[in-house]
Amino acid sequence: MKMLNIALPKGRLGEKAYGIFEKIGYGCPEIREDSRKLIFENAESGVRYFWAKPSDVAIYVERGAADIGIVGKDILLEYGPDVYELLDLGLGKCRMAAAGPKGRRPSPDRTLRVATKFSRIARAYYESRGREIDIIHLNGSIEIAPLLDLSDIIVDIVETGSTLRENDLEVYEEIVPISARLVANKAAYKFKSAEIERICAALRGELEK
Amino acid sequence: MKETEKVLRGRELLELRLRSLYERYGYCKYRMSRFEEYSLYLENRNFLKSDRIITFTDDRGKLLALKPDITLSIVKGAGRDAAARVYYSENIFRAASGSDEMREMRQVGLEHIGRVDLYTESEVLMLALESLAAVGRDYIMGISHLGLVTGLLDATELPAAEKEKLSLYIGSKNAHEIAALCAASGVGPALAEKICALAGIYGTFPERMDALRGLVVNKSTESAVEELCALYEILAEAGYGDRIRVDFSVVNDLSYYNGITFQGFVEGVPESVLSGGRYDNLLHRMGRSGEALGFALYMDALERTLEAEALPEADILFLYPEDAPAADVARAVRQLSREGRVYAALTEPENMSFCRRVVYAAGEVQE
Repeated sequence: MKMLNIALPKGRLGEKAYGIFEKIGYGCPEIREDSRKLIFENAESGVRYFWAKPSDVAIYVERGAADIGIVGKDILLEYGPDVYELLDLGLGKCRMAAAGPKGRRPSPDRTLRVATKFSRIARAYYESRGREIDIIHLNGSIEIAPLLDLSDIIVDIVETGSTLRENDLEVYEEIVPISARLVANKAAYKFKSAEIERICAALRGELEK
Repeated sequence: MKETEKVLRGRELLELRLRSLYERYGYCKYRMSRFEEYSLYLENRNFLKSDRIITFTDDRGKLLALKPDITLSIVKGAGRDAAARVYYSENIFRAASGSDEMREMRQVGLEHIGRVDLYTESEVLMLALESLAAVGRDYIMGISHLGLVTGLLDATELPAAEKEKLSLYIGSKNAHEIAALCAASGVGPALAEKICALAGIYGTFPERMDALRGLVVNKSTESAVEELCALYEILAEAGYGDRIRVDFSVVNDLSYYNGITFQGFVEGVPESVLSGGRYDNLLHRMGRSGEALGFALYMDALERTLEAEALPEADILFLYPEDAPAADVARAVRQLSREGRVYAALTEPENMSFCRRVVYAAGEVQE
């Protein structure tokens, strides 16, 4: 049996995803221990896990350092890595949305100023609707942009919407639903197809429960 | 031959082997200039995977490009209904995958333009498989047939933009997105299930034969399946049965490609190292008649596997004193060079690896 390298996104989503791997028999007890180790191996079930920054998981998988990985659809849409997207895990459900000040829709007559971390998603969305936009790429605290009149709207991930509400913002339009996906490296899928298919089938079974 | 192999390293050696392979099957080397008129790429923008091209104007103001692709130039040069059986090893200039930076990359490829029948297809596929084998590692080739993909997509009767999305999802084996799109746009569940199955199918031909036949919905899909099976039979008889997989994630732009498409993988390289297919549509778009089929190997992607075992920098280190007559030294070096690679120096260089040390002293060569 060939060893499978699995990249997990650091944080809540990754921990939830690992929980499912554990349930279907690919656990690795070490991983729960508080240690400085970076790579965790369970030779018996043939898996090796490592944690990566969520936006880097796709890169590890695309470049073959990981055979499979868990990554949010937002990252896949934004970076467009050349990987297989095998499964929608339905974890970390949220939506990519356009939002702005409550009750004040921006005039369709002007170039729309959009603050976002997801430039490519925003550009593709407004291009498809023929709307001219001015992208303001920010790396965090996007919500503040319309409050300071840096932008008219924001394009960002909305989970519960409480941050928006607290800042007197509201969702104007939903762009695309987001959830965690299982991705695989295209070459790894060829050479480790039996292992990847087995894990995929087990995950599918677990999700249908 | 032995002598050449001693000097050639990794990539050069592989190129030599590939060239002799292609020559044995009647393909001629095609050599071309490094520049091409930019308009060729402008007219066929979607044929190239990336639209980033290095351009410059020549001394008469004509816009030229450093070639990002070879196939287009070969088709252009092949004439209206000319036939060409050629191979090439050329440098091309394009953005590296997953990055915006332009790179000079080496590509070795083969094109068969003219009549393409089942035998020709099997010959080109076999040469592609042999090219992968020449790398000397475990290899796998995924084969798809675009007739089956377009057949199923056309059956949905969706607008072109939606079909394009579906084809992208098939390329990333994304069955959940296919199911969602089909459900949202009113494609019947039976057909939707077939398209999901198409995306999911992966395995050797004997394993997936039934699944393949299950995908037939009309004449064009039926003949595509027949063609795939016939090709499998020929390749299996030649001993490649366990190297090829049914894999419809090998999708190419449908306005240029048609018929079989394939992609090769070599163990240890995280991306495809070979890709090819039938491109009659490209020929017709460029006003040529006939049929065409070809493939290319990405030598840069292969480079990592070709790391030749570290040879010593020289076979013989030859040290001579400062007062030795130059003519004598020259004679001695000439003599030694017949035995191996000689490195002649006054003093031993630091950190140098060699097999033998020979010293010139008192008019004589000593070990």
